[in-house]
Amino acid sequence: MTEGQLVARAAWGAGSARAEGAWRARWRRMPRERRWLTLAGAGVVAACLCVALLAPPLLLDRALAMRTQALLQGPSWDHPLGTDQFGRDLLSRLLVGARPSVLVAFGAVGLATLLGTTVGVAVGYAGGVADHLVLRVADVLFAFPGLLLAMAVMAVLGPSLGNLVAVLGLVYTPQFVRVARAAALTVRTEQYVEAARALGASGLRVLVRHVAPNAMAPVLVQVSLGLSLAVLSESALSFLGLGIQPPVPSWGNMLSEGRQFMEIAPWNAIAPGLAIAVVVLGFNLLGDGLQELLDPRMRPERV
Amino acid sequence: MQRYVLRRLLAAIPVLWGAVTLVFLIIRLVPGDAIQLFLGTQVEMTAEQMAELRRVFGLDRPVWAQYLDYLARVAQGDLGVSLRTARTVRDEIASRLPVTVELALLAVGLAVAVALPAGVVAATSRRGWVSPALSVLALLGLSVPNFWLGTMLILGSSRLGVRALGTYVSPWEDLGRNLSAMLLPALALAAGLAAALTRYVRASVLEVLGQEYVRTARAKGLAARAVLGRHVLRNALVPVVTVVGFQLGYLLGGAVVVEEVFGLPGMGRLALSAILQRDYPMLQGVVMVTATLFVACNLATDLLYAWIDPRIRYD
Repeated sequence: MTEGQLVARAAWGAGSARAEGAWRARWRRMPRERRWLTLAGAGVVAACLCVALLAPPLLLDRALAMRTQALLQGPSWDHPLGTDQFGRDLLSRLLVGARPSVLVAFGAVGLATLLGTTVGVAVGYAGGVADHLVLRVADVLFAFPGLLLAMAVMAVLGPSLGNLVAVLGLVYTPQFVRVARAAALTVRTEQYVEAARALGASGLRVLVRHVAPNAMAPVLVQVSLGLSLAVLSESALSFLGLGIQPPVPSWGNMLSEGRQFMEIAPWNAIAPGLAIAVVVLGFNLLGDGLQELLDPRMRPERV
Repeated sequence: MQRYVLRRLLAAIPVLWGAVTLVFLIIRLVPGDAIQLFLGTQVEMTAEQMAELRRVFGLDRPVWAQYLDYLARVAQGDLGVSLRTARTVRDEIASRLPVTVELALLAVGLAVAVALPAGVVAATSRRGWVSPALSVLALLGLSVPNFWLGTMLILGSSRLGVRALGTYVSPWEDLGRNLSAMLLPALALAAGLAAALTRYVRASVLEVLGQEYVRTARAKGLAARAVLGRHVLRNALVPVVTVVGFQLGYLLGGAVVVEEVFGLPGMGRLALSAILQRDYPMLQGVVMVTATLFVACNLATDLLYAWIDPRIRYD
């Protein structure tokens, strides 16, 4: 057998197969209502993705069309949630507004995962000066409340979707560094890693083939929590006028505009917030379920 | 203990230096000419006048010289002058900071008052509907954006005919009016924190309940109430101190949106108006002061924790 096969077997025996079996066993042992809640979370996330994908091509015209004869109307057959201050259909705007939230959340968390996990796993496995240096940099980034840091950078760079993704991605990166580093520190001492090294695998190979894949479970949980936080942050920045700019609808800027007319047309303020809450709840339910499945004792970071 | 305190204090210095440097770098990211941006398009100026302004603000010198100069001034507590009001950034912040600190403290107080009993009940009543209901409620609390909750509180109280938006008065002037203006914002800010804390208290209590000394206490016939009070809570609530401390610092920054919703004259709105008016010295000052407070809160929490639980000093 080659080194690769041997180690693959060792890793398989020690890591993935056992873990996979354990996940299935834990899923079965989870109380029934927890299983339902996890599935409900997954359902909400899937529905949100579908809406973000399908709504803009189908409903964008309706979401932007102004009708001066129908301003700030209540719910009706034509407009199930009523209209806003320019007579635009609120429901269409709400559905179209899912896209920026989803794009920013997945973009930012994707960036943070890629960057944070790569760096975290590498320094966790390597240790030494690099590890020390990276931790100090993470400490500095942790010295800022995330939203304030994002506000300051957005103010300097100017509001745009790309900037939102970049800024929130960088703000979330330290959390992923910490989680991935901690996971790599544990995996580093596993027997299959030792076996791979004993068989003469290079450091990089051990890192990529053995340490990284087995350190992914906590990262996955952090991803789903990060997504819920990113949706909240994006909507907060858009609410403050530093994110998605009108007339492109996003839940944050819709709430900010609807707030001014909420005495006359309360749905304009109620609906965007409900949409945010439902999607964030979906990510949280999914995250809780994943956490229980992957490692019930692990505490993800919530900053 | 003294050595531990000293070590932690020293460790905070590089973090603060890094934070101050990062703020300097962020402000220098401004694309184009800072003076041009600040003046906008309305103001007509000759090239000589622009050069003069640049010299006044020290922008004609190399970046590293600006940086050293900036470090020296920050170290002396000089945060510069606002480009809009011509007051010093330090005075401006000093007048706004108490509002944000009061808001954060009120929110933490409310959150702890709700989360401690809720978390303990969620952990100890394992049959019936109370515990799952609390879990779902806590998850909801984590999912609702605080600026929307604030908006809904305003909408709800106006529907009930209650005046929600009192103008802010200093608590030393009129405590009653101060609290009536602060109550709803504090509630909006507290909800998410209460939810997170409830989950944390529940997990912590559950963990302690599984310990052997709890089983021993039960086995020797101690009443359930005494076990809970003397053994479980005393040990379970120690780590909660850390979470509360970290959250306090976090709230100082998280209050931005809530202050905006309720029109409170705190640090968050100062930061926002600095952003909208391109008042970069002000923005720089606010971000820096918040980061410093954040680091100070975390440090104080660590020290408090070490004082409560002597075991961790040896880590």
